[in-house]
Amino acid sequence: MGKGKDVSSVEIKRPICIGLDVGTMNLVCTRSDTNETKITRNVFLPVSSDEIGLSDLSELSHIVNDDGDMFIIGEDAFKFSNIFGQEVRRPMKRGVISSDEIDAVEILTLIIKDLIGDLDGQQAYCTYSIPAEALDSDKSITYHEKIFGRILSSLGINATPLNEAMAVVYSECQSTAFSGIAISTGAGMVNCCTSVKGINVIEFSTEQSGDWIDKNVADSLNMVKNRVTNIKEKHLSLNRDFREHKNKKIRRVLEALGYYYTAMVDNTVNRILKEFEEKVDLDLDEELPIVVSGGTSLPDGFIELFQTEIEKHDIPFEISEIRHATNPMTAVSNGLLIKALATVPK
Amino acid sequence: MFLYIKQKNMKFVYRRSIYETPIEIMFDREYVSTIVNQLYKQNIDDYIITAVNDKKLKSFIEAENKKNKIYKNLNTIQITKIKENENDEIKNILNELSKDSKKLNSKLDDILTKPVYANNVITKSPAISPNNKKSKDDENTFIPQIDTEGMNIKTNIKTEKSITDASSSADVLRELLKGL
Repeated sequence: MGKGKDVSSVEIKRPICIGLDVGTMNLVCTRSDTNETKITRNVFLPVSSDEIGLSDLSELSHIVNDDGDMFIIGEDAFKFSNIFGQEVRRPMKRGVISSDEIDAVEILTLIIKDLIGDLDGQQAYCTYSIPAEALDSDKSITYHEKIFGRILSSLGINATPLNEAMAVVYSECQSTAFSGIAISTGAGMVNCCTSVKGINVIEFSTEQSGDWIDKNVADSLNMVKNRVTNIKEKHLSLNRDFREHKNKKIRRVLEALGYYYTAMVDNTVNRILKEFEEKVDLDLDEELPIVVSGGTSLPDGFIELFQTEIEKHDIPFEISEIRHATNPMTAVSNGLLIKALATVPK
Repeated sequence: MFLYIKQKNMKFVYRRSIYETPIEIMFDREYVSTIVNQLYKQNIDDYIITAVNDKKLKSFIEAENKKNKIYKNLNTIQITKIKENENDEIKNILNELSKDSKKLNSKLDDILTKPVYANNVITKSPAISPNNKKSKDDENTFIPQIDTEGMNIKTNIKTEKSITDASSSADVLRELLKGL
């Protein structure tokens, strides 16, 4: 005979808060009930079922839709595309959901569900990242914003969007009462915002970011873009002379990456200053920190490069420091979690 | 990566540029899948694969490597088993086009640009049934309905330890937001 439930010991479960960084290259998730942040590649590779002939690749992550279409997803897709010299496909492009990929929503739903994990029937509140409108594109972000809201809603999660760069402020600028300039350099976009005491004064984005660098390097050297990305992630240091590398082919890629990184940083700095000049009418009496996050900022020497480019200009505000986020890959999702925790009733 | 596979009685080398599409294959497709799986599991960048006991082929690859100075850290992997039955499709193509190397290269290129993967545990994707209703939130935005029933997948997920205390930052932010 079973025991009766002791009503007095029934635990009231607190809602789970989630920060979900929806990036062009990576999806990053931080939950309030764990001290771990989860990251996965936001890529996939379609596979024709009539080509599948072996049973020993059991470790691969993949999905099959109702039409029998098969897709390798996440990090496996990235690794295998490199082996085959193919381009991976992306559910997102230039910071927003891809209009070229009819399977994008299905794939994103599956990856996000897996990334967030089991909610055990608890109420969940998620703040997810959205980009600012791009200065160098007339694309609207409305569809992107609504689709992710709907994906999370379909998973039973209450969802609220937040500007990606503002999330970096929440994550990294507590010591300055959430005042600062945040720059999130992702694969698809560079997102910038200026926050004063937690108020987003100005935000914008540009499409000159990681993918723009990789594509231009690949075009310049007649290569597949994945290979450039791979070399960038493995070998690039903006502090080191590319000529130090022994492999001639890698030297060429590193040289080109250096040129395009400089162009990207120069463009970003110019945009920040132009936006400030045209749109911000603030008499700031405090120094602002500049915090840089995102995968594109990971190479050694990126902050020094940024500093060098900044020093070439007259800046209309005082800068206290230019620094990396504590963890450039997880700062956005951490900031999103902070916002979710701050707005959900205790 | 340098992938070189010799198949019994079928000597043909398909060569791609080493950088953009770094695969060199003589094969049938299932055999390639086996090889690729091994490469993937070992996670190494530069290697050679040769058939068992094919010293001539191995010497050729090593000589090529020495000549071109492409691979500094060369690993040689020997495959322990060669598949006996040949792929009919490839065999037919080779027979048909063996006198015209350009056509042969082109045909093989078509085949090789398709990915090769193995069958494995297949999970079911969600049934997506887009409807034509416009969102209540935004009349100008079409949003498909997303049915997550039956979704169950495993993805490669990296984890990193959180290094900031989100709760204490949230407390500060909550107070700040109250004042606005």
